[in-house]
Amino acid sequence: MIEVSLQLLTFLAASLLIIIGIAGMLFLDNLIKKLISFTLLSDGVNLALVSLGYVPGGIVPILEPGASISDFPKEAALIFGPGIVLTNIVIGVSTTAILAALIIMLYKRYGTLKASKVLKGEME
Amino acid sequence: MEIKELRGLRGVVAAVALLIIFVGVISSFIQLEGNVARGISEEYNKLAYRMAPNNLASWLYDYRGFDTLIETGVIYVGAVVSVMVIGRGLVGLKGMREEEEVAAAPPIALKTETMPVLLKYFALPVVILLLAYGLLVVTSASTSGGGGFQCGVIISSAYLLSVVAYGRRSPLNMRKKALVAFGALGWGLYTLIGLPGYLTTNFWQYNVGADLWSGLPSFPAAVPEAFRQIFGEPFKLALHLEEGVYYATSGILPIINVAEAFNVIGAICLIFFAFVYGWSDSAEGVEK
Amino acid sequence: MIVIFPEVLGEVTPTLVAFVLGVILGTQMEGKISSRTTALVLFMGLLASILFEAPIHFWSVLGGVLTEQISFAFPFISATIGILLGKSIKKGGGSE
Repeated sequence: MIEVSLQLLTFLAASLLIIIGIAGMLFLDNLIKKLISFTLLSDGVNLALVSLGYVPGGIVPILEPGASISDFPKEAALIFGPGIVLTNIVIGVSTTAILAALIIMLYKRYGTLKASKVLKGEME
Repeated sequence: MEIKELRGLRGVVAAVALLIIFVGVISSFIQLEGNVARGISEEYNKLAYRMAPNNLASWLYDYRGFDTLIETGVIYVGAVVSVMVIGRGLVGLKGMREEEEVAAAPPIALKTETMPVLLKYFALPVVILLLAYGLLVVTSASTSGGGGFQCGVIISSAYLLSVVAYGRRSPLNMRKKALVAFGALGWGLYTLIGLPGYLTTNFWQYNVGADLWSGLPSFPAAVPEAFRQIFGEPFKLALHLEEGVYYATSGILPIINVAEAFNVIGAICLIFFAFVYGWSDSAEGVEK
Repeated sequence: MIVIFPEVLGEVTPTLVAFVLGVILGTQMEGKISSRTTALVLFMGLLASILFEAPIHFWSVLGGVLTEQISFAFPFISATIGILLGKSIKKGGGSE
């Protein structure tokens, strides 16, 4: 049986999410679906960042009762990944809010959510 | 482009292009595997027994404290821009009808009279318990998992649940002024809590309660005992570890967490508010 | 400096902070709440506080730990009480 590293699998999942996001943003016509694809893309990036802090056989980076001070630094997962992802999530929230607001305005202006019609300036 | 247009040769080209991107992305990730230096993470892991046991909180607000301050501004930019875009039409899209007509569009019709019984009687208790849960998450942020941002999101979801379930008669009816006040309180507290550290050691947002770095020879000045007690004592904890009992304090981290929570409540609820009610100077939530 | 009781104040402070924040959030609530709902909320809060347990590193009764198996998340209870109290303070305040 082949041993596959957990980190490798996470990277695979992350790149699948990223590629699905890119494909959705490029090839889907509905603006809301484009927004969903965008969030999928940023989720993929977040997943990759979190899994960078993976330590084989590691533990949660919270000092629990009974933990050993000398072993904890070696075993605990690295914290920079989740730390940066927290920032990334906040930025994702604000970007999604702005995009959703823009989509609402486009819908009010053109009466349609189809990107192809919006680009041609057709009213429905 | 529509998905129908991707038949035939175009579809093949698109699939090959996506495959190339996929290979590029995953190979760049694989090169990172196992090559990440532990660096500052290990330093904080080593220091965990001297400050907040939740390492992520100490890293986020100590090492990246200034970064997180700017990040809390980013979410406000998001809120303000979405308010500007949907609220009063300040962007002035060409061909847009007049502001009055947009504002006169019927608000979301929520029929609370025909609400399911379960929702009618259990939404309010759930909202209250969600608020309490958010406060539990923020107050125990330094000892277990959790933090300010999580608390803010939980409380905002309670607000949204209340608005969606009860419509205009929402029990958790935070007004525009209250939301702006929450955000201002949060950001102001976050910024001003850096003042004691700046006055004593010239470092903004230095954790005067825990005082981690004063042992270093290159560190400029010592923190006075009074500051150390004022900010350190209220959050002092006994950590029962394998090597013995250590008395650690998170210092200013819990206060910063509370500030961050209020900041996030203000910003995210403002976004929800703008989406649900729109933004005009007339009384919000009132049917015209 | 004054010696503050108890020695490990960090187990008590979260409860007080949660109470104050609960009062602040409670004043944002409107409308009436029946006594039956109040009792339901308090009961569910107590139940939930047993489920959530006291945060790790809390050891004393003041922190919510009765025995090794049973512990209460005191910040949760005090936040619930604070919200209900803040709501009752607001009564008569009405809308702006």
